[in-house]
Amino acid sequence: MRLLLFVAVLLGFSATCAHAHKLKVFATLEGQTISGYGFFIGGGRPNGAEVVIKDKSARDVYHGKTDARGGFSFKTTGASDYTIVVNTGEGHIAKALIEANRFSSPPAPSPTAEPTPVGDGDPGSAAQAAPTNGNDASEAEIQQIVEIAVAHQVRPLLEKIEALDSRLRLADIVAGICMIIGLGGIGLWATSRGSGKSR
Amino acid sequence: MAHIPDGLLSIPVLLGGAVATAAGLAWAMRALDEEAIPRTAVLSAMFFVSSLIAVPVGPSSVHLMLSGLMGLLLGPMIVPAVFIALILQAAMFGFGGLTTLGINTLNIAGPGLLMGAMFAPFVQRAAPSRAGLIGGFCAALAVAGTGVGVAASLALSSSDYTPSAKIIIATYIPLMAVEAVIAGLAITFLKRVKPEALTLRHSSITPLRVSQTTFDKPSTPDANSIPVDQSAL
Repeated sequence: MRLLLFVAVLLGFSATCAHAHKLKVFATLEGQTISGYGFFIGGGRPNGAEVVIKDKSARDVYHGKTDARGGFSFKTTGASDYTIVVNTGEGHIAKALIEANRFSSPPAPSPTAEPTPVGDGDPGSAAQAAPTNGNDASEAEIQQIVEIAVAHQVRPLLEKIEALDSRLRLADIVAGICMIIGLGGIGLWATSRGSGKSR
Repeated sequence: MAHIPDGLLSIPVLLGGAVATAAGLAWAMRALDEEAIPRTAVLSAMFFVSSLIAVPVGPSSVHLMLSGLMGLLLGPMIVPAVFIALILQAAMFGFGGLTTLGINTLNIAGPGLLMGAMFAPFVQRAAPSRAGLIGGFCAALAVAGTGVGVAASLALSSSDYTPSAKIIIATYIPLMAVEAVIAGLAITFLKRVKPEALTLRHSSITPLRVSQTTFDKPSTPDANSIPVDQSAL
């Protein structure tokens, strides 16, 4: 039993530098293009896994496979709630959602349409778009360019946040082990109490 | 792989898994024995940690489950051992899910329980090296059982998620080999230094009887109350 405990502790420590096990999808929108990648928490990318993108009405709009880095890219035809499903084909399935409100306004609206879709993008992009009134480029074009630029800059941050969110923490692993051992202790206490034995 | 997340499986599959796991838990708790608790806790902790460590294989990644080893060492207590570890993994790391807890426990603990019950008598009687071979074989079959269970759970839920047999084989075969080696070494070692660890002392809860009920009639554990002295064989 002591040996088993030793192995358990050893595995616990090796887990700090090893990988966890769950497929996730990172997806982001740049302009009208949804791109991203599937990844296993801790390391590894699903190479050649099936990617399906569905729109709001659950209609398949894209079928493809991830590349060597687990990546995919799809140019949308318009704003919709897109669900990206990555399926490795043996039980690992992960989903991500790109909501319709992340899409900028349609590319060529009438120039008189004042920036009502301000709430669509980041506040920063709206603020930058505002002072450009009256320039030769149309409002919508500028807004789109800004949104693409912001999305491009924000992408590494989003990736970082996703990675931080998917991190295995040693404290959690140790807490889990201690919880199990504690439950074992409670079980022992309960059974010894029930049987009237004192161990 | 074996941690199927929430939102993929159909209600009947989830319910079936939950009922089978509840029956298994009830059975294990009824037969709860003080001396089995520390062993169960240690193996549960081992499963908790080892199934967090994943190794990329082909398009996917695999992790150890140790279900064959647990089946041999724990008998019916494999069900609470796996169940507790899966609850913690779901709560702490979001692996698997709370609705899929039942079916995930069934897919991992079920084959371990069945294979452990089938092979335990042979392991108990064999010499250390031979026992290791049998243990390895048991572990490999338990992994294969989990693969079939996961594939069946997904295929029964939605045709969209039907796994590809080719990919399953490509990812599970290496895992079966690794599990067989680990279980084989562990069993050989235990057989040499602590052979009594491989003997389930309480004859009334022989794993053979339990496995039959869990798989054939998960909701009627009463049929197992007949004590059968398997360890005396």
